Amino acid sequence: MGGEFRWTGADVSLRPTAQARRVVVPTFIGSALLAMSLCWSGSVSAAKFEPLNAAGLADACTSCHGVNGHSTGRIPSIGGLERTRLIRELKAFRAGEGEPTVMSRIARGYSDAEIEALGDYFSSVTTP
Amino acid sequence: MVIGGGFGGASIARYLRRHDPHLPITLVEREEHFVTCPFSNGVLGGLWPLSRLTFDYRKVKAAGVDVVHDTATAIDPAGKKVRLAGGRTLDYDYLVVAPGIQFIWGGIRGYDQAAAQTMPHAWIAGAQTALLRKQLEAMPDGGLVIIGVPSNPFRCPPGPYERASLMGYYLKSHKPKSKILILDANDSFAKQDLFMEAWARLYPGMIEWVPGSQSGKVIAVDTASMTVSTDFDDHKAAVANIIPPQRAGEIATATGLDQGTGYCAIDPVTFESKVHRGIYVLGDATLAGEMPKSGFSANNQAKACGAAILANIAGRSASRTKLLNICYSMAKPDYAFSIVDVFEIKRDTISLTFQDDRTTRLKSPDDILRREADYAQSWYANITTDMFG
Repeated sequence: MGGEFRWTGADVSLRPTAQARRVVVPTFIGSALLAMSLCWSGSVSAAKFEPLNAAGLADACTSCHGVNGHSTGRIPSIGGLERTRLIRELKAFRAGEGEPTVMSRIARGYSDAEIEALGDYFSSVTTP
Repeated sequence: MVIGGGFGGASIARYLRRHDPHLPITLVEREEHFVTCPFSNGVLGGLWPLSRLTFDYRKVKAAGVDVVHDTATAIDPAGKKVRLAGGRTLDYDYLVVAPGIQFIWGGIRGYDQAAAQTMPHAWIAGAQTALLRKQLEAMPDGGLVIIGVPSNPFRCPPGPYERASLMGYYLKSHKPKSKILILDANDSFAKQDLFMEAWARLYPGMIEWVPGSQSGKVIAVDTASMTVSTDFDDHKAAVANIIPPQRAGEIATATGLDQGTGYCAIDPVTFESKVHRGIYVLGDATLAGEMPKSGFSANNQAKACGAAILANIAGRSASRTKLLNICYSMAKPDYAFSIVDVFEIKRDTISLTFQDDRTTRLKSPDDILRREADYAQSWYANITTDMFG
């Protein structure tokens, strides 16, 4: 898993607001430290960070893919799939690879970080 | 406490229970059975029976939700109490109001509850759906079916046009000389190009759409003569399906959650009412930025709201997220298309992340359209399992 990072909390807010907000501090594995330090260095202001809310993002997906990503019928189950596969396929959808489908439209709405958070979330789901 | 056991209310009750097995949850719902509006156009087209869309609350109860079959008649936001028609008064710490819609009777001259027994709306599914289906079955070949569409906003914006499509599917094989006339208060509609393409391909000459600017808006009906009137024309219908104008359900408007505007303003992250703290509003009753009034939206909102309530209980602030609405419309059993909406919060309102290329492409091959019809079936199974399974 070298070169990847994971958030420890479901809600990570780096966005400063008038009210005090809880900030869940991420832990890093491997080169993510470098990636984050690049993000924090100068050109991108902290105000541009949006919270990355993996559980919340995943909840939206379950309206189609079923509770915990377990689906009946033609919509595929995504709960418990391998993380790298989930991320690879979501990015391929977003890039418009393969024939056009519903997911190739939906995936356009998600950043790399959000796709990776979804990969983390659904790969860790086991119970149907 | 949750008022209303539909796509918003049942979804949040289940969501909260899944995430906190010990939280006391009461669901107040008038009916013992819930009939989904999604897929109800399939009943009108003869694709499946109404029983397929009918769910009870047994598994919601079995999950540990206290389901009270009664009508909430009043909310005391200051005292945090809800009064029920049956006489009980219940206390709450957090209240979720998910009442769906009520009709604005009298918005169309001559159209009231009694008229709806002759000219069904079938926009709250159940007996009205069965009545409209029965009328289509009894109608002679060559009859005129009118669908009256109110001004936006209303529940399920593409619904009237899917309805025309699936009525067309039935009539084409059973009463092919019949016509469907859509009298529309609006000048455009969701997935319009895809519907028009489907009608030309599948039901040529059968479905006609009259926009508001061409005297499409229904202003009056006369049930005795089965006349549906617009500014300039009187149409005689064999079957008239009049969808009246709508607003948030009674308990929401009675509590002033809509501030007299018809729909309820909410916080875009938590869905807490902008009028009363501690009261959250979900689904068709809300003004939710660019989110349409759909069962899918309500289910997605329920999860965001549930997470916000759990965060509040834990003393945390809620995290913003992205929300989705994916809406399939069927033109026949193996022909469907969709629009996808991804939402984020921009300028303190729920806004589309992107506007362009959100629909199935025009001239899609049959296998794509068939696959989308399969997806629609799969979606329906999954979302109803989420709520009632």
